[in-house]
Amino acid sequence: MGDALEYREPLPADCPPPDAVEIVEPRIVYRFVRNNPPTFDDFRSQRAINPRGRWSVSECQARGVSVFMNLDSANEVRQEVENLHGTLICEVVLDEGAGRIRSAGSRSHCTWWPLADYDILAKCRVVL
Amino acid sequence: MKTIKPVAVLLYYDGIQIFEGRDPIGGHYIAMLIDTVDSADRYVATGAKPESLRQFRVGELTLRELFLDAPGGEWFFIYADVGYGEPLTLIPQEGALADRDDLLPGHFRMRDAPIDDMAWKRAREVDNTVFEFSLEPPEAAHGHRVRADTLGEVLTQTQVVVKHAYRSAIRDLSKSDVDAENGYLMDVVVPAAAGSFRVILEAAAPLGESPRSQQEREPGELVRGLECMDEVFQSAEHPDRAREILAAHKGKLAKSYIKLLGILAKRNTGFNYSWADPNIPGSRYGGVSAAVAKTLYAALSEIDLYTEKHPPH
Repeated sequence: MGDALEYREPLPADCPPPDAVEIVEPRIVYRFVRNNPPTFDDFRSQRAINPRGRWSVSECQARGVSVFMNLDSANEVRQEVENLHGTLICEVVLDEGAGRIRSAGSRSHCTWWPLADYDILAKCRVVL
Repeated sequence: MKTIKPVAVLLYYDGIQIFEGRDPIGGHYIAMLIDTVDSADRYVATGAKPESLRQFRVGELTLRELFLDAPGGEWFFIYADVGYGEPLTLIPQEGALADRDDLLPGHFRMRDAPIDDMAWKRAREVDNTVFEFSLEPPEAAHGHRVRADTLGEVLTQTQVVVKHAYRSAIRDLSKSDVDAENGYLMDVVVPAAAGSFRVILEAAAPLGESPRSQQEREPGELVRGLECMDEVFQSAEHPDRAREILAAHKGKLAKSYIKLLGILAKRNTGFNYSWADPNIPGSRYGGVSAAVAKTLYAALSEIDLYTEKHPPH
């Protein structure tokens, strides 16, 4: 992006992609977590969890964090997808300095690339 | 060993949860993530009849029903230890998947098909507002085809919805001079993009034929209409909320939207759209599955479209 911002995880060139929006206005997103209160482990990317995994749509997306824009969508997916049973849903407030976000896929899913200095744990709470 | 290649990611969350694959002779497969073994994501997979896969994609079948409908009852594990796009080996499993509650998927149902984020790219390339939609009618399960009347009806009615959404969005700004006959807000520029029934429209070129034609339309005004349309579609899965939204947007938008739902229900097709404007980062998305269109059409057809009052119960 050429903006010299430091992201939580090292990103490949041209990542986040040009259509990822810089977060400037506050917004709420939802993420599945395993801990209450959430820990940094709950916000690790697919690549951080599985560094040797080769299967991914792109290295850039693998280094982002999945969130939903809509609580209902998140709850439905959690109920309907076996692999996500037993997780909690955490509300995360994103505001200026949170990084970049991009719609990707269905059910209001977005990929979020958090900036290193963004205090995620201070901005989240388990809601479901 | 048989292999498949992934052709579509149907659900993504910190990795590919559900995907659709094809084997080298065109056979269809569906696969769902179950766990990770030695750094390789492990999926359970079955073959899928094209029509069943289409029904799943438009929300008529659950993932569990799709898996249990596998031709011949064959099922497989896949260890995804290759790069995305490379062939994945299907490892046949014994016994009936129906007996494996630990592996059978839940009742996941597609509600909005993923659509490639092409609109924003194109909007920037052509420096214009771009709207695209895609259909999944029954005939598309048997090749790259769509009935001409289905395409025509949906295209025409989509234009009508956009027109009324636009009017609804700007009515408070310019009550007196909106050209009531001007329906040519968008032109079709790609009638059926290769590989899908994706129709691409762009904001129409200025014509200057009327007191307030496209020539006088200010940049971004059409965006207001499309945002209004998003608001209507976002309520699709909640009929009570949909009634409230439609009541807030007066008669013609409500009427045109319900008519579009009726067409989608009759034609048994899902409808997904995305739109983008060069001045707004990223694309916006909306749509309904065929199943949601049927339910919502049944729920909304009882509304008095002219007064937007609900009939007394």
